[in-house]
Amino acid sequence: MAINKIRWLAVFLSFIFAAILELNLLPDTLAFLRPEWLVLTLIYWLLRHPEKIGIVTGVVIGLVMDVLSGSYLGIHILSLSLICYLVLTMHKRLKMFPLVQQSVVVFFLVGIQLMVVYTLRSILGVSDIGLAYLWQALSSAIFWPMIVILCDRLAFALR
Amino acid sequence: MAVILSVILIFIDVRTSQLSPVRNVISSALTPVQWLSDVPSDIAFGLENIFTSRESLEEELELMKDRMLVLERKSQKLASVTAELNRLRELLNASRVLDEGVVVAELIGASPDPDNQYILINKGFQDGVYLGQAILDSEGLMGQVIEINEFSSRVLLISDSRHAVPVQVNRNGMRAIAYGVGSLSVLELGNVPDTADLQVGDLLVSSGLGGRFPQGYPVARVSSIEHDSGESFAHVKITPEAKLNRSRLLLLVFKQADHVLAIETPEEKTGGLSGD
Repeated sequence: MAINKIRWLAVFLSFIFAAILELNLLPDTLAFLRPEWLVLTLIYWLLRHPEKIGIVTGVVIGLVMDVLSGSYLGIHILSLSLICYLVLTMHKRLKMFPLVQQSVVVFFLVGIQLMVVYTLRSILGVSDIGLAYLWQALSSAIFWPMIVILCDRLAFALR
Repeated sequence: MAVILSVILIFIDVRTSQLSPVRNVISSALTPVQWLSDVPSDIAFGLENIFTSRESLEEELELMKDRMLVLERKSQKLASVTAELNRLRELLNASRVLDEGVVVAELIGASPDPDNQYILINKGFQDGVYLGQAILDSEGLMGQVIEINEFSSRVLLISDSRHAVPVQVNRNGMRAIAYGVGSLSVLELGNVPDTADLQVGDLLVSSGLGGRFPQGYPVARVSSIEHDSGESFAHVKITPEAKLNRSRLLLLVFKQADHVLAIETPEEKTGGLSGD
């Protein structure tokens, strides 16, 4: 039970850290490349503890992202619960993949997530940016190995 | 799948904006995260202050003092000019010019998403911020408050593609509407006829016609005018006066309906155009 509590601390800390990164500003020329830190962290914990972290966590993180980004409540909840479902259906295979192959899958996952977000936003009349969100998916895939290593360290340090 | 159903419910709720209390609670809980995300730029700011030499600081102080003298002289004149203006307006039975109060606010965050341009400021419910309140920096109009939390609020910038400001040309009083296009350095002036008296370099000030923004604050300068003979309106690009992505100290404008600059007169003569 004690181990369980400590592990939740690692989850909590990594999400806080990801939220801070998410809000951090990149220079204007690089802004289109900002990775989706919270989504990456969520995918990591889904893979590591699929029995504990599930769609409910996805909904909570989605709510946080909605509030942080000031979008309509529900857009990120919908997209993240979809991602949770997708990851949970294939986590057994995904866990066996080498990091590079995982990155490719992460590219598609983040791409799907952003597609849902931007489609909903353009339906609601906020903005329409075409396919530019694929750059964000690409940078997220590039940062995936870093997230894995950092979160592994964190989970190990707090064990 | 039940989750997705519930999400769709929430979604419908959002469209009728019933969920703002929920949003406020979560947002207040997340305020520490927002403050933390501002720490790096705060530190950079602090380091810059530490490593400036004594001479340059003294120089800056001298400059500030000079500037203050100039501004003080201007404001002395302004008081008498405003009083005179109000007396003249009374002769014309027009409504009086109201003084606006301002409160200094600090920027604590900006949108990481370039398609969604807002900033966060460190004033909220506690400081009496209200929805639609105008925000200025030292150069001009920046935007309006769209969401208020306990300790912070969200300000939509005039450059966001959902935003429009009613403006008028300072030189001749021609009215127009300035639309944001999603770029921090360019706005557009909508529906300007080809024959309009507009020149590159003209200052546009807020006209106060929408009742949202106070009148007379600089908004932008005309940077280019293109005439396309195939279209009925000119393409007018304007550059915002405010430093939308650089200002850290901002001014919140409070409309003070009861505070009148003019010498007391028995009653308000006209009801219309109270923002005028």
